[in-house]
Amino acid sequence: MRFIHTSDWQLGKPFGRAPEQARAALLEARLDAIDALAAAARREGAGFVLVAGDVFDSPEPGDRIYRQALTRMKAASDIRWVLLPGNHDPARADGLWSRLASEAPDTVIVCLEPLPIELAEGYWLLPAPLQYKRTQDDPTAWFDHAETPDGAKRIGLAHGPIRDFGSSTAAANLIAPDRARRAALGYLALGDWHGRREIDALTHYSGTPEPDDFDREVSGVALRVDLAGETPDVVQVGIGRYHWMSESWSVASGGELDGLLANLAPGIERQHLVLRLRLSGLLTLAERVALRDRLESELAHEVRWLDLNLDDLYARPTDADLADIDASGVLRVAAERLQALSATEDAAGRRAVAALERLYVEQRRADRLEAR
Amino acid sequence: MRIRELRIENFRKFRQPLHLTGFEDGLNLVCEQNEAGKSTVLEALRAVLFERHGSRSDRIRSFRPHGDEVAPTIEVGFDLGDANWRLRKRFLQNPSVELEGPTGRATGDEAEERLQTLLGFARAGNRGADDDSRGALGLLWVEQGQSFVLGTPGQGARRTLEEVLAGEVGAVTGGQRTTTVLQAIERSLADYQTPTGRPTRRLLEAQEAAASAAEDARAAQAELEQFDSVLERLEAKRNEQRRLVAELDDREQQQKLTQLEADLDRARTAGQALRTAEALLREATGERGRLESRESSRRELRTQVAQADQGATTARSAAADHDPVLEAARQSEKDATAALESARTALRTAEERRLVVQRGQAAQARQRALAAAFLRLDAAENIATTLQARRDELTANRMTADAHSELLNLEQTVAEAQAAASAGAAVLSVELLPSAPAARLNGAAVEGGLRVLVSEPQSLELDGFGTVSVTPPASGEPAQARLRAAEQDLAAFLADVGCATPLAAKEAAQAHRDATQASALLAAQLKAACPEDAALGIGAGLESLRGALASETRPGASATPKDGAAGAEDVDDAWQMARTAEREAEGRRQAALDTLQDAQITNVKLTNQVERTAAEVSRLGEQLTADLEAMDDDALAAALDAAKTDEARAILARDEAKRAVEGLDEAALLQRRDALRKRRERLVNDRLGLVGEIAQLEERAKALGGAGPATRAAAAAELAEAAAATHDRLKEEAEVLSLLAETIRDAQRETARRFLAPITQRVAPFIGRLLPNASIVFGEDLRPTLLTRGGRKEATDDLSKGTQEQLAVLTRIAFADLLIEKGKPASLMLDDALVFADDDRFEVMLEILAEAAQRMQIIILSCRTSAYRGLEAKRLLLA
Repeated sequence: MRFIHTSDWQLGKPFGRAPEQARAALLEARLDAIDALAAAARREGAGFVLVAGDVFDSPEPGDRIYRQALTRMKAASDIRWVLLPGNHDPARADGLWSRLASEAPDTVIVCLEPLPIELAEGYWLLPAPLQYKRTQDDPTAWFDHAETPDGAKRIGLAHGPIRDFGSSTAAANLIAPDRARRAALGYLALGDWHGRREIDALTHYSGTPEPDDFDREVSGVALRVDLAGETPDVVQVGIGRYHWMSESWSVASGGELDGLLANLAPGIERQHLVLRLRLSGLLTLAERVALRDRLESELAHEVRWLDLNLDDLYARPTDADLADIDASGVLRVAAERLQALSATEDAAGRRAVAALERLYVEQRRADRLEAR
Repeated sequence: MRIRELRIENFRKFRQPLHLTGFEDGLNLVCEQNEAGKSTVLEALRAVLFERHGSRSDRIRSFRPHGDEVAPTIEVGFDLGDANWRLRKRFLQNPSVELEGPTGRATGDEAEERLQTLLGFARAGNRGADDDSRGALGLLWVEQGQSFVLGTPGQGARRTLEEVLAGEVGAVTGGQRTTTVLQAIERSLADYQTPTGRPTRRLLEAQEAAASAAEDARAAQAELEQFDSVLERLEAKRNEQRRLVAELDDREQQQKLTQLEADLDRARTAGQALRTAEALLREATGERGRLESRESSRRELRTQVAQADQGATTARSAAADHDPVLEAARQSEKDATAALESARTALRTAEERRLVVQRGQAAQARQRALAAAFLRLDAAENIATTLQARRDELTANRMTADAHSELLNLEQTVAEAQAAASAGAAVLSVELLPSAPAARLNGAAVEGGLRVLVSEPQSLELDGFGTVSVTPPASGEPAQARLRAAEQDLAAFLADVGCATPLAAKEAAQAHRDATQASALLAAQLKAACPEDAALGIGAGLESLRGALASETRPGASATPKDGAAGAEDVDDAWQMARTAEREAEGRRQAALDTLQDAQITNVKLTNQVERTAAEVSRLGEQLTADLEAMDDDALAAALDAAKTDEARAILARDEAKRAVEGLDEAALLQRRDALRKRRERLVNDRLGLVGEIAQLEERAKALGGAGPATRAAAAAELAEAAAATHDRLKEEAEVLSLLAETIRDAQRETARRFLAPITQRVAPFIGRLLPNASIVFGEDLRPTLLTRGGRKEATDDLSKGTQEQLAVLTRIAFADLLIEKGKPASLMLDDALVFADDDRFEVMLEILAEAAQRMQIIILSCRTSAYRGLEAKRLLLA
């Protein structure tokens, strides 16, 4: 018995903070993950894909997302898809799930009731669908007493945090960490956590197949699970397209940038990189302008989405910077005034810094124009 | 720079060579008439320096004298510092240039370039030199009609001046660069906000986008909430439906209804039985009642029959008892009537007798009255005679009461007159001694003495002595006259009344009063003697009495009234007795009549009573007989017993039925059953309604859910946040640009102020002399922009042409001063300048020019010879 364990597709996640282009690409990539999972299943010889909740980002993802998901799963008719409602898309009455249950093909199994389902000869699935965003009860509690034929392998499918995950806010939908043992499960496929995580040999979070935020642990994978042996054989399979990275660089001179860029995300294609970059340090005005120019006009266009933060990259205009602006004339006077204004740490100071930088840029632009 | 000499050939009007020499360091004045070619000289100077020799521009061509294909040639000699330079240019035909100076000789482009470097101007463009290319000298060599132009110096001139100024103040404007940068920034800023700070273009778009995104987010949230509420309602309706179905399918309810129906049937049956029993009971009770009342009415009837018999008997005996009474009454009445008849007869007799007696009595009475009347007449006649005597007496006596009063008045008047006469008269008093001789007064002897009032002349004769006469004074005469008159009146009165003296008159008056009183007394006696006599029909008064008795005869004393009176009394008594008896008899007969009438009435009544009681007896007897015939007493008693038994039975049956009904309240059961039925009907209806509602809500949920409200809401919220962030970022960028632009402009203003200070300082003394208390402000482009006079600011464009020209000339002097101080070539050349100046200003301007001429060469070209006559200058002629 082999299957792919995945979760937290969150189809339809809007990525509203991203620029429009990136937004569309990121949205599409989550749908594409379905195809990638189907391909992985075929590759791994797995007949089932078990999705441990949060198939959709919301209980009403809209017709387009719904149709796309259904179409893609239908297309992979050689795979059996097992879908579980999670806290993002709870199985409330008359919503998405009842529609899905009625419209889905036979290859798509929608788990709306906490009842055992025989997936294959001797393999029983115990699903723990969520009816609400938050419940106080452990949705997997019923596994302990679930009746399955003797000798059957029991596979749990649930969505929610493990009780002692350490997060004080995640008090809902808590799942007992030893549920697999207590309910005599052969494997407990969990969702909710977007990073891949192994709780014990029997209990695994697959993480989301397509990363959707910065600062995750391993994500963008699915798990290939084989239950033939005594303990499950779990293998990580890469699925995701985009890599979300969050980097903080401290630079002391403009020259360091080359090295940093060269070592950025080795082995990852730039167009598949979603990068949050935070620079700090103290540069000359010329260096800062040059560095920003490079990041904004080169790197930003190379990667999928560059979330650049230069707030902590300070420029200290040198005499040379000021001389670049103007040796002695009006612009020099203006530059010196702005520099004086920028001495304060408040909004006015930051504004003066920006104005000075802009003056520098404009002056250089004028230089270039004149040189032509 | 100083011009030393100038040679012009084939240039405009100067076909023949013109050679001007003798220019000096200071003021040079070329005063010639119009058309003499002064401006041509200036033009030639500008051409040789600034126009390129190889140029074939229209301007160069215009240099040729009209119609000639010659080569305009100009040669100028000038000094720069200590060095002498000579420049020669030939235009159009075989153009050439030649510059000769301390460093040697140059020709062609090299000469042009050296010249440009030397004098600080730029290579002329294809169209020839212009203000921008000519540089500072172009600014200082002012052509005709241009002197009053307060314009911006050309680029070349400005650059030179700026260089000089920068050297002086240690600062540069940055000039073009600043402008370029500032314009770029302002262009960028214009993408964000208008000059007045209102958002525009990008910022406005971002602002609108943020607002619209926020609105979208709100709308999406509202939609989501709506969707949620639809789902909630749907679930609630579903639950309701489930409850309804459960209740409808509840078997217990069904059983309850069935049980109720059964109970209701039983209740109905029992109710019917009870109603029947009650009806039967009512019937039995009625029958028993009817029989009982028949029995009692029969008893009653029997009593009535007995009573009626009794009544009839009583009536009959009463009627019988009454017959003798009636008879007695009839007899009494007859007796009384007879008695009355006899009494009446007796009365009539008595009355007749009484009338006879009464007539006799009346005749006697008349006789007596007549006798009395005659007696009264006799007495009255006596009185009348005496009265007549008295009245005659009265008539004779004239001393009536009035006359008496008059007498008293007259006496009074005499007394008063006497008193008055005595008061005014002298008194003659005579006292005679006893031994005195006889004396006589007025002839009358005087005894002892006397006292006389002298109202008349008095004559006292004394025997032996003579006569003493006293005459009254004349003053007493009137009083004496009045006295005399009064005495005469009195005497006349007395005569009239026939009395000798007043005393007699008074006695007569007393007699008159006495006679009057006696007459009145007598008259009263007479009246009393003749009263009215009713018996004889005689009125009062003597005359009536006399008349009445005149025809009567005085009766004698023959009548015997005593007998007649006694007989009359008896007759009257008898009549009275007869009358009384008749009255008595009438009363008795009336009483008898009344008694008879009463007896008759009683008789009728009793007879009626007898008949009535007999009829009653008969009627009641018939009634009883009929009743008994219908049912005799035995039968009635038997029927009553049977009825009582029936009733008892009916009561038992009714009580039983009542017990059966107890615990089966049909109305309550009906109510309960109906309530149950209605509830079920309602449930069915509700379920139908719910099915519709649920279908509707399902459809709605599907429709709303299709749009993905939750995702949309989340997305819209994120978008709104991003749009707000973008808006904030753009706002900040606008602020940055705004700050930058403002800072640059501030710096510009400050720098300009510092930068222009040398010019302002240099021109200030000149301005002060021309326009006391005035100062001038230059713009950044070195153009005089503002004139301040006594705190009032005026734009130079608004000044008069004359003032503008004067300011322009003074400014140029200041520029030239500045250039010369910095070792730059400069000289001033004015063609027909100051044409608008008034005499005073003109004088001041000449003074200033003369002073300036000590520092620089100034060449003035003018047609106004006389105006410059007093000016100390080198005068040059064009001829």
